[in-house]
Amino acid sequence: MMVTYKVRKEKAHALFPVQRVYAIRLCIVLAICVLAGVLSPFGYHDSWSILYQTLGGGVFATDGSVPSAFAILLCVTPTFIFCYLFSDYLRNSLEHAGAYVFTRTIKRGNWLRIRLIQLGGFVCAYSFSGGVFVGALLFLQKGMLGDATVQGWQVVFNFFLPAVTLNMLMLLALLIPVNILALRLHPLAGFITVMAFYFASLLLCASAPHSITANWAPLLPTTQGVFAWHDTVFTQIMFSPGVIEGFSLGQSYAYLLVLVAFEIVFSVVSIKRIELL
Amino acid sequence: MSAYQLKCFLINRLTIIVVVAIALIQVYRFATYDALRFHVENPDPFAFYFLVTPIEMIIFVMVPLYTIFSIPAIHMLENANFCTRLKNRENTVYRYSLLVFLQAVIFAIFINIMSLLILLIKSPLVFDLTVIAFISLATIVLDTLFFSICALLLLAVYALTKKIQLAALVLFCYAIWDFLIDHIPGYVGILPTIGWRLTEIQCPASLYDVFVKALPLLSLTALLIWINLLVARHRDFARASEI
Repeated sequence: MMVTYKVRKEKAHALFPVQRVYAIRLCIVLAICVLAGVLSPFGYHDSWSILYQTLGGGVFATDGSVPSAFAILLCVTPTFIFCYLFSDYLRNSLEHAGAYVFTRTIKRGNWLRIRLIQLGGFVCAYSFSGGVFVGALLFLQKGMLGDATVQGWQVVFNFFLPAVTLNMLMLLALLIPVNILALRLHPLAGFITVMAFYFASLLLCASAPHSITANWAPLLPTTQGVFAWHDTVFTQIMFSPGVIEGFSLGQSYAYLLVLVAFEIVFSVVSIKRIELL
Repeated sequence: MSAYQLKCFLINRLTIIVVVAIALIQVYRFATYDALRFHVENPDPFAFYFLVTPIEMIIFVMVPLYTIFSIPAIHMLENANFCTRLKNRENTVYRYSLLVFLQAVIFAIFINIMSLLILLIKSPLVFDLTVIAFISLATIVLDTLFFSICALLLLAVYALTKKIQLAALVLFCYAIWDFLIDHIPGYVGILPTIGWRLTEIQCPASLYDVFVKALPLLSLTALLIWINLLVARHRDFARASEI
């Protein structure tokens, strides 16, 4: 008599214990984002300038003068906390289920693909909901934009969406090497090395004169995520002092996409070579 | 200390990655530094030297990197063979202190070498080489003490909690103290500086001034070694799985 077993298909959308932990971590970071939004009005006149400073990265576009330390802290802290809390995503997944999964799957790449898609989902959720939360909070606190010539839809399409998408790609480009280094070396090592390089390059670009930043910013991977440096019609009208001529959004999107693709290839190679024992 | 121990301690993947990161950051720092920042009207080499190494760069970049740099030393302490060969627990702490002192010297040289190069190459002014040599040596000594304190603090918290993340966070809080009291209006000059600000010397400086600056750092180092000795008497460094 032939015995048949019913195989329950794993629901792709279900949150397993590891993912549940990270969902809670995501909520914590979003709460910190909102807190930063509540604290940020100090020293600014309207919600527009706060959004420009935080979401658009305007705090770094200072044209040579050293940016305010607390403004930088307020701007980068949620990103740093997010990266720290998600720095061991691959490592934790591997420790919890890697040994069982790798012995059953033919290709390790499949496991990594699913994990990277989940990581991308968390990054998307953080970028968009964080931006929406902070924006909504600021508009509620301070009223609508001070400049009457700027329409709401124009803001959404020309500022909010490009800034959030750039932030999202930048976060993904940061998180993949952080996770791979955490997997290969030490949980703290990946986070600290990548973030130190990221922060140092932003700080140096911000405090350098505009002529030097204009030469370096389009080349460095870490500066591509700062919207305020990009040369668009909208930034020319609204943030003209910080804009770098010829630094286009399309170029940054392409740069970040190529970078993320390269990191994915590198992580596949890295996962294939890892010793499970 | 054997050559093999030193090799294991200094040449490993974590230290190599830190050295590469620092080298990249320093090259970038050199490339983006603008000569216009040197004010010709007031050619003070002391002010210039500390201007090229801002406190933000130390607190948010160098101290976290130093945390990774000192993780191999902590892992060495967790090795049961290493601990048993040193006969008693006090010796382990003394050996760790010696190791982190060596590490701190290397790290301080890494940081100061680029400041020196920027000052000598990028500056439009010509400085007296003896003054520059004095500033560099004094700063390397003070930086070594600062980074030794960081490593000893890391060990003390790690030995108490066995959580490297928590230890790194406490170390970061110590490092950021000076930065915060610089930036909170009303607290400048009221709260004591206990970290990086103690490594900065003002012009004109003599050996006595350097000693005065080093004294609180030395006291903190001694205090932390004593705390580590106390902790070592009650806590095991070696992992339970290795014994």
